[in-house]
Amino acid sequence: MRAPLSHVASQAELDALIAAPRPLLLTFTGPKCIICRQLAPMLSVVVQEVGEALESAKVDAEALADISERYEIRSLPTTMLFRDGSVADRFSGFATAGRLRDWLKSNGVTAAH
Amino acid sequence: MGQWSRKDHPEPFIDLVSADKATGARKALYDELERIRGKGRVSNLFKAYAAFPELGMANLQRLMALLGKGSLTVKFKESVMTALAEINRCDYCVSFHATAMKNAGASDAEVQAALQFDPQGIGLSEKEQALFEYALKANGDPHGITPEDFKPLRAAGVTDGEIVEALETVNTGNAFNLINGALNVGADDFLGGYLKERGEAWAAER
Repeated sequence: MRAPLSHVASQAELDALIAAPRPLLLTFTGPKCIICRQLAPMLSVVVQEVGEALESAKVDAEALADISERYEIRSLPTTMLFRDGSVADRFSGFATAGRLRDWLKSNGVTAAH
Repeated sequence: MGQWSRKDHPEPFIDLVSADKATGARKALYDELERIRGKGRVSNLFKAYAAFPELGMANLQRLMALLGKGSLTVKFKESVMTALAEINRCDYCVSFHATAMKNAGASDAEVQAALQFDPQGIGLSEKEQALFEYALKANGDPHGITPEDFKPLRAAGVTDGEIVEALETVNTGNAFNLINGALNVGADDFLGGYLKERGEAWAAER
């Protein structure tokens, strides 16, 4: 099963995800962002592989401009990893599934077994 | 079965002329496909291309050069096109290239690895694993490629010709996916059990 990441609807919803005990993978996207569309299947596959070790969500950066400003989003897509309530790492642009696997592993996130 | 995004429109958006009704340049294209692939194996993609038969023939020659020439394996090229088809959400293309991967010796697990964009699970050489990763990055953001991306390729002994061969695999896969998607071209009847076993499951995942 390869479900796409669900959209965050509000700051409160995002705050709840950040406060959750599991790390959060959050990607900022936009409806006109072509590279976001290329990144989406890579994220979906890797998030599915990692399973319950990770929360995941996406933010429409244009629709939720306040959240984008809060995290200083300057280009799309931007992908962030939150751990223990704060930003552990982030990158902008496209990444292959292989690069995402390495990135998560380097941040201590591996598949739950 | 139509494309993932077109469940409510099972029929193709242009007329796909059957082999027994083809004439002129269209028939010449079909005859060439049957000469190469065997009787009855005129794919729906090329039936669509046959609306402009000269371009259909040019694209067939392009495909034959890609798959028949160069130094990279057919398994590698079909695995890249399987991954692209998944990215492009083209169920016909996934079915076609997954079947072609299996015909090139891939196991079900290796096909699944291609669908999960995992070059280490496809059973490729170190060189082709590096090229698979490069191909997916070039597909995702060609202008984001930097000299750093060439380091693993060169370390694995990849040549300039092989880089072009991998990129043209991406180009060809995307071009065919676009034709199939935009014209709602469905899967071929002659595709094997792989399509019938997996097609509905893939569609259900969308």
